Amino acid sequence: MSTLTDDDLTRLLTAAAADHPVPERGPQEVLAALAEAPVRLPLRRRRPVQLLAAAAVVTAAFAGGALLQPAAEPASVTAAPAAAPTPAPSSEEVADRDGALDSFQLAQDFAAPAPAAPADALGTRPPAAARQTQSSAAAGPAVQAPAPDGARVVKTGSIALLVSDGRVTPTLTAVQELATAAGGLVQSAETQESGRAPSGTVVLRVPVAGFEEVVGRVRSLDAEVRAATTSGRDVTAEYTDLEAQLRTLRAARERFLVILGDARAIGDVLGVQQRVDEVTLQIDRLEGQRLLLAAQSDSATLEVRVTEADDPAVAVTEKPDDGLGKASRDAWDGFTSGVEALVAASGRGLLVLLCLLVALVVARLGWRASRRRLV
Amino acid sequence: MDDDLEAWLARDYATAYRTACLVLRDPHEAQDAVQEAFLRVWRFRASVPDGDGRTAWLYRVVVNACISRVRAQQSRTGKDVGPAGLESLPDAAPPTADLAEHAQLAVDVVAALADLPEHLRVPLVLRFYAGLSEKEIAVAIDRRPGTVKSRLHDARQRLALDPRLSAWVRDDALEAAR
Repeated sequence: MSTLTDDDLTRLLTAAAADHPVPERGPQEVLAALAEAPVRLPLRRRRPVQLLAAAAVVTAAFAGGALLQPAAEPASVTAAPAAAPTPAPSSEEVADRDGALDSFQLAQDFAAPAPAAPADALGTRPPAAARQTQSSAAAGPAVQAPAPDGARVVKTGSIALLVSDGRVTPTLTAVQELATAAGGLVQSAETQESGRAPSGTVVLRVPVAGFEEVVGRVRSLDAEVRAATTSGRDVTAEYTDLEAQLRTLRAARERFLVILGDARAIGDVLGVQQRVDEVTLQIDRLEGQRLLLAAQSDSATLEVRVTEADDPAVAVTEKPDDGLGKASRDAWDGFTSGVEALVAASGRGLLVLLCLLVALVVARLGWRASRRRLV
Repeated sequence: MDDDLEAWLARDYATAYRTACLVLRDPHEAQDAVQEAFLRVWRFRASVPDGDGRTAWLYRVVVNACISRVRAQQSRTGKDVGPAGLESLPDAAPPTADLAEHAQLAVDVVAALADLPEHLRVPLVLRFYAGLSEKEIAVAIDRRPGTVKSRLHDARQRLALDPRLSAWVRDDALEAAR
């Protein structure tokens, strides 16, 4: 073990620091940023009151978010057909949720402005707020309700096409051109030319407003539709909740910044700055979630698989949802729903217990005081 | 504090920037952090103490800005940007023959610093690069002087065990690098 003296450390760190050339325009950039920085006029208010108000705003933001969250879930569930149980999420939905973080970069890249969903002229389609999963095999064209104004729906779909010999590549090319013409893009493409059954898969990202049209055009290609699945997940409540939280947090940050402008003592400055940093972190985190949801609901994902021969992967394997399996699933759903309800109610129960405890202590102290007064 | 920001920048910017570089190991993040720190200090210059306390106060804001950026990066990436996340660390591959010894020394020192946890790296850099006293470091990191002394001791012990620095503390190697 060597001995490191103060001189050694000073020389080593000085040498390492010298390896970082100081930006020549660094000081000038500071001056330029200072010139551009807005001047905040300090408000003559009582700082504790301001701090309390800002803290109350932040607390209200979280409380509001917590209250909105449970209220949003039943809305999408009750909008589903009453007679049918809530459909299990499709594989696309599961993959969508699991890959949420991975697709964040894509969400940022696919930052086209949110197209306004066209209103259904006939008004005969179910509302987009209803979570729905539709599956068909060579049946009529896939029907996916467009989102009404303001609604945000994450749409996904998959289509399996069977083509004649030598038609895999032309069909895939036609599919990609359809996506491009609709203002979308090709997220991934894969072809397998070897073997007795050439096949290819292409994943498209198309504007959600043109999703049904693209699905219809893909189905109308010169190919046999072996399977087609589309699904929609309503995220309007989740998105609105995020926007509300962001508005509140930004307002809180503005209040903190005003307080910061009025602060004079070092401790106040650093303390308030720390609060500003914390709120900014929360804003960044929520803004990322909002951007991801926006991108997912702005562009739908459509996977098209083209094959020349019967492919086991495209076989329809759905079984009628009845019998003992359905009963077991219903039982399990009931069990998990009950546990969730118990956990959700535990918070209020704890609050009631706390209130009772405080009341008990106050009553006991009051009783003792009254007895002393009597004695 | 006088209203002479230019003179203040000319005097302290370089040291503050390189301090941030050693703490953050990312020149771009360091530049942003130092700019933010200077703006913050300038905005609240009325509360900046005079005399020796001014330097400690500046570095307190610099350190806070650096730590905020580290935490923001951790929040964005969801992983610890400590010793395991050294994307911006200079390549520690063996040097080519024509690589100057000075460059290799810098690489070794930065790598050794990167292996130190943040709570040891910050006081070490403030003490032995920025030249702050233990009392000033205590102000800068908002800890007691005894804690600073303890952390400096721990940091020194860890660096003394680092084989990458052992070669450079020999008199001849260090002299050559200088």
